Amino acid sequence: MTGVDLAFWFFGTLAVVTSVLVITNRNPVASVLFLVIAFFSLAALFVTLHSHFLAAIQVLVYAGAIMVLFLFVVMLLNLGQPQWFDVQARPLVIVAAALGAAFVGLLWKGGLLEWTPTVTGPAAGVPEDVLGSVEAIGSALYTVYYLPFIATALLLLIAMVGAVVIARRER
Amino acid sequence: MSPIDQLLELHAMSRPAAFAVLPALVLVVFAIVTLLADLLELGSSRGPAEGQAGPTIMAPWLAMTGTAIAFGAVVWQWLRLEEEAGLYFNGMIALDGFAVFLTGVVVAATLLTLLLTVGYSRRHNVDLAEYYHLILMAAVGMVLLVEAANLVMVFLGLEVMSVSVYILTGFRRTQLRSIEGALKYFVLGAFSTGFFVYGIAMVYGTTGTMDLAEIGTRIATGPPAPLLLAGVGLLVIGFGFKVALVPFHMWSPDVYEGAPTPITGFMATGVKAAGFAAFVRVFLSTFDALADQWVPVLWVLAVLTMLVGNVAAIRQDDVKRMLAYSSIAHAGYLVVAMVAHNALGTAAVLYYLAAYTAMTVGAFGVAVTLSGRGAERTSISRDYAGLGYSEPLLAAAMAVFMFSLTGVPPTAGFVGKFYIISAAVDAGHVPLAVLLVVASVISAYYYLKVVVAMYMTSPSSAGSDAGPTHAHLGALASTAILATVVAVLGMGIFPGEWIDMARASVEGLATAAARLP
Repeated sequence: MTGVDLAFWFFGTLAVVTSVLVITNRNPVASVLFLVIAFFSLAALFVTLHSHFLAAIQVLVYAGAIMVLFLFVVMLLNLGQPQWFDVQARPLVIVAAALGAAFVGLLWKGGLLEWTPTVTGPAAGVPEDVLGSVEAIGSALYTVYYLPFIATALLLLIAMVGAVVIARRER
Repeated sequence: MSPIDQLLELHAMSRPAAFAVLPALVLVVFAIVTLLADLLELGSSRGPAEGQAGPTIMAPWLAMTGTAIAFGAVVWQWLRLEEEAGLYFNGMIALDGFAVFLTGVVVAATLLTLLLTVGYSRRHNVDLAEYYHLILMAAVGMVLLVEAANLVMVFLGLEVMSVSVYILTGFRRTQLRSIEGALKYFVLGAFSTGFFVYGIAMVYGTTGTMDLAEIGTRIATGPPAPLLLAGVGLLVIGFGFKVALVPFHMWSPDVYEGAPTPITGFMATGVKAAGFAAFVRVFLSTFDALADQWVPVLWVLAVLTMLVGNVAAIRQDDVKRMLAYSSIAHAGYLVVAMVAHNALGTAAVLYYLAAYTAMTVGAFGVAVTLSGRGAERTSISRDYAGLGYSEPLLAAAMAVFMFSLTGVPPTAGFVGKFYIISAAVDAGHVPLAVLLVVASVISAYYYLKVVVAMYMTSPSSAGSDAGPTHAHLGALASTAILATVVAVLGMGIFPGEWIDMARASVEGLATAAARLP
């Protein structure tokens, strides 16, 4: 097991465990803090994949800016009664957990762990020194992924308009 | 050569063309103009006070103009299809008959929705520029989804469309049902998006590409990896949610009931047609090699969807809920055509989507004109009683739509079901075809209930305390309903040209066309 493998298992496990804690924790502030750890673990995984720029952005945007907004919202809403978040339907939780476990078991039995990638992704052929750099991402965004890039911009516009519509004063 | 130059070489742009995305481009431009034009109106004498949001004046006209031009663009694409067909934007967008046909369907659905919504939005206080902006943006998402040739574009088209529709569902913010519907749609929609993205990740993980054609060639040889099958299964869940297949349909009745009625019609037609377009393209073209695996899954979904949709619709008295379950049932019929897995079945999907859009927009159009002011009046037994005498023309139109939804000749619904059944029988799925007929017979009960209420009961005997329902039938709404009646009867009486068009369109989907009988 190489160092990269070790890092993958460590941060991967950390990401999964903290993600589970985000949704099981009853205190919203604690949930948000666990989400920060999950985002940091993801950033670490990006580093192991040579995506340094994505890792930096992940920390700056998600673990930084978005998390601050989350905390603000949680505090502004001032949810003094965390019981609201109690899951009322215990049996359904058990059914959901069983189905989820069955899905994972199916993947396991299907040879998920023995499976090794036989095809190479778009990273193949990219020069070693630009792999994962700002230039690589920038040129991909403005050439191959130009239209998805524009569509994402439209999606953000829609979200903004939606926020204004939902927050508007009633006339 | 510097590394950057090498990269640019590697990612050399191939065939960027505004022509391929012209309808979406026109819609985006008009959506933004609609939003900006509202700024000019603010502070004019229109609003209650300076700077406050008041009813919009220009937005509906701008939106309708834009959509009409977009429809013209679709026609232009259709006429020049032979010269221009192919992949654009580095394989993100496919311009083929299939895409252009269904782009036409969703843009037409948008135009009809806009015609129906103008009077409604004045009566129900939702006539803000943002309302029209979001309808156009949802249409942009639909066009991108229909034309998408890459899983990234499928995902983004799906999201642009869905997020707009989430907001539109909750537009009547003072109505509790509207809020409930929007919240349910948003939370469950986000959840299903998670399944969808997970599926894309697994497909990408096994094939190393998100290009639909490339995935198809890479999985064509050798036994499929278990991870790939899991990804395909997750994509079935994602699509199943968007087009409301049982058991992923739970959200649909509440959301359809809570949304403003024209938006409900838009969801039942445009959103469903665009969702099916991507569903068909991904499964019948890309995952064609895995047909042995997904056909049984869709077979089960089709049976469940037809039965649950039709049986649950029987008990509904609210016309919007009834049409919600009816739209679930129709999604089941469309899946039968997909299960048939031959060129006739794919052509039948296209014909049926066009026919279904016409009759469902029409039925919702009648519901829109009858919805009154304030709280919507949508009870079949109370508000539709005696309509045949108070509003004879409108009731006649509604009867046509109900007969077409049932599948009675000479309407478009009959021809559509006929082609689906022949495709299923051709493919050897006789039990499925029989089940479709049984489901249609069940559906006759609740569709004809509307006709019975309109012609054989009177408002007083139905115990209505609000008096007879009064139709708000403006020139625009009348045009839309008239157009759909003409379309339903035209497609039913002269189906030849339409089915030829659908068959020609399907030839773009290479693998499906290989099975032409």
